[in-house]
Amino acid sequence: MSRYVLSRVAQSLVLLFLVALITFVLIHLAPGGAGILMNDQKMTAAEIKEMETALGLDRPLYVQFADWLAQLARGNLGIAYTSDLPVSQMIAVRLPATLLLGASALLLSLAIAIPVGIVTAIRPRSLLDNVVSAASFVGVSTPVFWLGLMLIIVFAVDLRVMPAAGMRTQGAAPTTPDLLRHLVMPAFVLATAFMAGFSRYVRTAMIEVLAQPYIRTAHSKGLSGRVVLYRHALRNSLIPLVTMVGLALPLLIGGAAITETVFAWPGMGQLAVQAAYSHDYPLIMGITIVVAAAVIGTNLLTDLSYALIDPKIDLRVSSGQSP
Amino acid sequence: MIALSVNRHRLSRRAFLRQAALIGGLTAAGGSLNPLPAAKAATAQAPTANALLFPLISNPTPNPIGLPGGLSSILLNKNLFSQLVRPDPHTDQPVPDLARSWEISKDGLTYTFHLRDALFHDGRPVTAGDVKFTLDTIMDKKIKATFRTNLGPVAATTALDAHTVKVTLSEPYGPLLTMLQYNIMILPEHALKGQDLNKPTAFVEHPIGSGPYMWKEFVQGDHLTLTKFDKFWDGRPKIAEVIYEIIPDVNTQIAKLKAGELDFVMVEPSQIASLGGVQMSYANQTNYHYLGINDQNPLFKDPRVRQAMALALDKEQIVKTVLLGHGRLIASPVSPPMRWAFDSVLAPLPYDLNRAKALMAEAGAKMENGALALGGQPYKFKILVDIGNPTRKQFGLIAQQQWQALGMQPDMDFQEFNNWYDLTNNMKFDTAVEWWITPNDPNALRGGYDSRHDGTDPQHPNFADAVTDGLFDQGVRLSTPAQRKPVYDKLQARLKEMQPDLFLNFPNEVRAFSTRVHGFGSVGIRDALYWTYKWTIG
Repeated sequence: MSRYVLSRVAQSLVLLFLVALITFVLIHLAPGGAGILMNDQKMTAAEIKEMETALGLDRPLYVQFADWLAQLARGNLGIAYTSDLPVSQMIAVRLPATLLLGASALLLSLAIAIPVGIVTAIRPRSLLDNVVSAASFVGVSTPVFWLGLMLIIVFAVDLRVMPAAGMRTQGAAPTTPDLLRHLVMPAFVLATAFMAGFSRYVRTAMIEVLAQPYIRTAHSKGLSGRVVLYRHALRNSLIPLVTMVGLALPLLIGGAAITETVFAWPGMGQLAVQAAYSHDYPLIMGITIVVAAAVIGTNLLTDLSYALIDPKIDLRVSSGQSP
Repeated sequence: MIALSVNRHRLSRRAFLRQAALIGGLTAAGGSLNPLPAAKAATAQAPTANALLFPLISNPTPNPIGLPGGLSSILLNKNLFSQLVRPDPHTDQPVPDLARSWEISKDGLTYTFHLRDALFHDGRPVTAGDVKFTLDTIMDKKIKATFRTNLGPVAATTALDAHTVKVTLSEPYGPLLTMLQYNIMILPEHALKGQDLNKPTAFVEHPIGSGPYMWKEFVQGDHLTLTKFDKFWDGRPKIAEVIYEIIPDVNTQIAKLKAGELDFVMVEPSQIASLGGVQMSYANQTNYHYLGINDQNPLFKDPRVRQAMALALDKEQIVKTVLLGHGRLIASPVSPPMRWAFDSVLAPLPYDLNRAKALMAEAGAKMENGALALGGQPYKFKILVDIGNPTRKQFGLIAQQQWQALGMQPDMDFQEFNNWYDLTNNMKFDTAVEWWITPNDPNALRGGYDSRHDGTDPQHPNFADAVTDGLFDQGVRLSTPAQRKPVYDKLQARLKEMQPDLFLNFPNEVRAFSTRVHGFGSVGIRDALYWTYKWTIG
C-alpha cells in the first residue's frame, strides 16, 4: 500500500511539473507578448526592451522557468504584474468566494436534480418525463452569460427585487442576509448547467436499477414501494452521480469564469480570465499550479479511497506487481 | 514617445466577444418585460448616500510609476494622488495642482515650480524632495516607468528649497507641462524609499498620496473604497467616499447603473438606446479613429493612393450611422481637444469618388481582370479589426464596401484583441481599423508619424516623410503655444495631404451618469476625475 501511495504521489508531482511546463511555454507563445502589459500600440522596440529587462523577461525562457520553479520550491508564487501583490495572496482572497458559489450551486443542483431524476425514472415517457426532458435540454443549451444577463435584467433592473451583481451592497456593512441575496442568482445560473446533466444521470441510472432482478426480489418479499425505491434502488443508482459530482469538483476551486464575470463575483474564474487577458505571467502560472494541484490532489485521494472502499480494486495490480 | 493608449474600447471588448449580437435584443426584451414602468417602488438597493459608485473592469493598483492594472489604475490614481499640474475641467489645459506657479527660462531649458503647502495622507508635507524623487524614479532606466518617454529631455530635477523645484531639460521641450499633467503623480519619498520600485508591494497595499481621497479598504475583485482627505489643500471633498466596484462585464455595469447600483458607465454609441433614466454626457477626449495603412506595402506607398482611399470613404455617413452623430470629422490626427494646436479651418478630406478614381489612375492603377491593380499587383488586401467592438467592426465593414467602389477587393480579418495588438504593433497588416488616445499635445503624435521614432524597427505606420519629421522637430523645441501653433498648422496640412493613415473621426466619449451626480464637466473621464472632489451627489 505505501509503495502504491508513494508511486502515485511521485506520478502526481511529475504531472504537476508537466502542467507547469506546458503552461509556461504556451503563455510565452501567445501573441501580444509582454507588450500587452503596457497596452500601448506605439511602444518602440527600445521601450519594450527596457520594460522586459526591468521585469526579467529578456532572459532565456528556460532560465525564467527554472527561476520560477526555484521560487515555487520555497513556496513563493511571485508578484503579479498587474497588481504588484503576491500571487499567493491574490489567490487566497479569491478562493472563499469561488468555494461559496461553487458549493451552493452544486448543492442546489443536487437538491433539484435527484428528486427530478427519481420522479421521471418511475414513469418514463410520461408527460412529466417529457416536460422535464425538454427543460433539461433547454437548461443544457442555454448559454450561461445569456441566462445571467436575463435574470439581471428581469429581477434587478425591471422588478428591482434582487441585486444585479457583486457579492455585497457597496457602502454598507457586509451582512450574511445581504451576501445570500447576492448569491441567489449566480448560484442558480451555475446550478442550471449542472442540474440538467445530473437529473439525466439519475434518471438513466434509476431506470436501469429498477429493471434489476434484486428490485423484483425486494418487491416480492413484500417490501413497500417506498422502501424499495429509496433503500434499494436510489442508493445504487447514485453511484454514477457521485462520479459526475467528483468531476465537477475542480470547478469549486477553479471557478466558473463566465458566471463570475457576468455577476462580478470576485472568484478564481474571474481572476483567471483577467490574468490571461493581461498576460500576467506570474498570476497565470500561480492559478494554474494551484488549480492543477487541487485537481490532481483530489483525484489522488479519490483513487486511494476507492482502493480502501472497493475490494474489486486491487492495488498490487495497479501498482504494477504481479499478483 | 509613449502616448499611453490604454484604450477605453477594451472596456467593452470582453463583453462583446460574447454578447455583441445579443445586448440590443436583450435590453429590448428587458424593456418589454418591465411590469413596473413608472413606479419602481421596491428598490432592492438604495444608492449609498454620498458615496460615488464607480465601475472598473479590473483590479486597480496604486502604483503610478509602472502602472500595473492599466486603465483601472489610471482611474483610481487621479483621486488618490496629486500632480504638479493637472488639466482644467473645461479646457483640458494645464492649471496649478501641487505647483501653485511656475516659470520657464527664456531658452526654454529650465522650468522652476513653486510648490504650495500640501500634505500627504499620513500628515507629512509634500516637498520639493518628493518631486525630485518622483521624476528621478521615472527617468531611471532600470525602472519600468510607463510615462518615461513622455518626459523626453528631462535631464535633472533639483530641489532648490523645500518648496521650489527646478527641472532642467537637455533641449527645449514645449509639451512638458502637458506631459506633466498626464499621469505624473507625485509620490512620497518616505513611503517608497528602500522598496523595489518595480514591485512596491508594501506601498500598493497601503498607498499614501496627497490627492483629495485617501485609501480606506480594498477587497480584491470586489471593491476599493477611498474616503475624503479632510486636509486636502483645496478644501474638503464634497462626496465623502469614492467606491470603485470591480465589474468586468460592461453589460453588467449597464444593468447595475439602471438598477441604481452604480453612478457611471462608459458605453459605445450603439448602447445609448438601451439607457433610460440616466444622464447621457458626451465628452471630448484626445482620441481619434483611423484606418491604419502599412505605407511600406507597394500598394499603398504612393500618397495619391492613400488620398484616393480616404476620398472614397463617406466619413460623414460613418459619423452619422456608426457614432450616431457623437463625433466629428478630422483632417489630421490633431483632434479638437488639443485646443490651441487644432486647426479648425483645415477642412477634412471630402467624400469624392470621382476624384478618388482619378487619383488612382494618376498613380498608375488600372483595372485588370476585373480588379484594380498597380504594377500587375491587384488591390486584394485585408482590413484588420479587433473582434468584439461593434463600432470598429462597422468602420471596417463600411470601408470594405466603399473601397470596392474603387475596384479594390478588400477582405475582412477579425482577430482577438491580443492578436490584433501583435499584428498592428509589428506592422503585420495591410490596413487596420485603429484608434489612438494620446496626451493632449500634438507632439505626442510623433509615435505614429515621425520616421525616426524608432530607428530601424518596423513601427507604425511605416511612414517616412522628411517634411513631417522636420515640422515635429520645430514644434517640440518651441516653448509657448503661440510660438508652436503655426508649425503645427503646417504639420496638420502636411498629414492631411500625405494621409499616412486615413483619418476618420474624432469620437466623443459616451458616458452615462446616474441622475444624482452633478458637476462632472465636459472633458474626458480620465481628466474629469482630477476634480471628483468638487462633484456632488443628490
